[in-house]
Amino acid sequence: MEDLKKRLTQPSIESKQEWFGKLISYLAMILIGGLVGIILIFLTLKGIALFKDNGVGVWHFLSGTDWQPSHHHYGALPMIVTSFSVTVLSGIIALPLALIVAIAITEMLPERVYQYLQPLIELLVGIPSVVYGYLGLTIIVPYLRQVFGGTGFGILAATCVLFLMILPTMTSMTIDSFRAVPQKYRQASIGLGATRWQTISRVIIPSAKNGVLTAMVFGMARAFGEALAVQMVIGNTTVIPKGLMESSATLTSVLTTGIGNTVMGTASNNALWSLALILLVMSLAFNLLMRLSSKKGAR
Amino acid sequence: MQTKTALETKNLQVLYGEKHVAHDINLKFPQNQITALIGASGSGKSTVLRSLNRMNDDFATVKGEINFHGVNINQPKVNVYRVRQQIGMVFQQPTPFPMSIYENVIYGLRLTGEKDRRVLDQRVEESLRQAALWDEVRDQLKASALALSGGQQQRLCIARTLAVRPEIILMDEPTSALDPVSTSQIEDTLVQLKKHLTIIMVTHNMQQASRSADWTAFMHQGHLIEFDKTDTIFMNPHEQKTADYLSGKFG
Repeated sequence: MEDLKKRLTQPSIESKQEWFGKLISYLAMILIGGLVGIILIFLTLKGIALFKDNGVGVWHFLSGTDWQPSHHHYGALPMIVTSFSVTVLSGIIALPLALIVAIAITEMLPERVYQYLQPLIELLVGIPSVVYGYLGLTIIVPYLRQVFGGTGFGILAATCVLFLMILPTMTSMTIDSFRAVPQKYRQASIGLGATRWQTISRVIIPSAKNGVLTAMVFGMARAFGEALAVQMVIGNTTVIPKGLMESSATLTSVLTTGIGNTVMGTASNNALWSLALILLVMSLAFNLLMRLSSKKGAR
Repeated sequence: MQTKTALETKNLQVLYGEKHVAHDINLKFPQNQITALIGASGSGKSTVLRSLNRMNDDFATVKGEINFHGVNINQPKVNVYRVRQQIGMVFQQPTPFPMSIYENVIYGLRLTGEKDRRVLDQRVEESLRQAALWDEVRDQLKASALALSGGQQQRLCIARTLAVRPEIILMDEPTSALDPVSTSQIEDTLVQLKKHLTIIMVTHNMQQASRSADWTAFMHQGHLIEFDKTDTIFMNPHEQKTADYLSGKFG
């Protein structure tokens, strides 16, 4: 009797394992949370150094159009405008294509097509961005040069490269959200006399709307943060673009170009950190947007 | 048979690839009556039901005739969308769309291009009343249909089918996913509905068949064994197989 009482109340191998497992998970969580926290603090501190130590006004930084760190001109507006332009343009072009491919694969073509195409699309998602940049440099830029004249480098080339880069991601996510629409909705709609197209436009797309929105924001977030591929084709001149064929520079491309050529702690270096801070804030905004759009879907 | 026939099958056969799942089904579904299709799982009753409004087009080969108002609707040139407006379908699982109750009910009407608010409003009330759901949802027509209980959702799906004013409603085990209270509410609704239309229902629930169906067809392994008035089937079946099934010897 005494023995059983002891066994019931004392720790055993199982309870120790449980405890150990919990400890490891909590430590991992603290590590990840801590890392994110440290990055946020570090970037914020470095990012505001330009305003605090070098006396550049925040508004002047955000609205100024002249970016010449060597001459102490820190106007980041051209990069902000260009970053948003290429992101939004590539997102807008990619969305209808992703939708059409997703509709074709999930609603029209046999299941077999999906089984072959899905791994292919995932492969495309995994291709390093430098490859897309190289494609842009060797194919898209010369082609644009031929058709529109000029150098070929610029907003349009960057948009094309980003479009190619985010299309697989967006397509894959759009397909997933279409496949998540219950089969019974399709049956019910067809049972009420709907054609396939009516079913797609009236039931399936509205049901998958939040997933599609999330896919678009996700793709745009990726485009916004892409540095290398853009840098290779955009021409890298820090002016506000006046047309699609104008050379320009994004936040990320200026960062990658400049960070190796400045000295830690100088104003020109701090200015780059401030650009990074804008990027971080924007990524957080994209994340929040994604959260909001996918939460609405869980209703 | 004294009553008029709403729908008739002649030598109906259904094949999934090479597999014959229904052989030579000859049935005359009487108008303004409830007909139950009973039989063990795999007897082919759901397959036959789904063939009646061409829902099997994408999955199976359906041979034979399905006569509706003197037209064989089982032929390629028939407009299946119009057929399905006349012969509606209610499924086993409640299938409300993720939209408001109102939009769910008028879904079928919208497909036909109806835009007149008064017609839509009137049809929503009419259909929800017929499905015995109006009193429960009249104040929340704009609310999401997904917030309704399972029984309410199924009655909403019945209302949605009724809204296009079909002549026949096919039901594939309409209450098997519901609790007993919701089940009896729906059975009461069906008895009310047969004044206006013809109901053909697949059911696994013998009590349900005996309670609400006027006619019963018993199917076994893809063959129609017996079709008669429900009382006859349950009290004095002519076939030994029917008697065996009803007494639980197989199934």
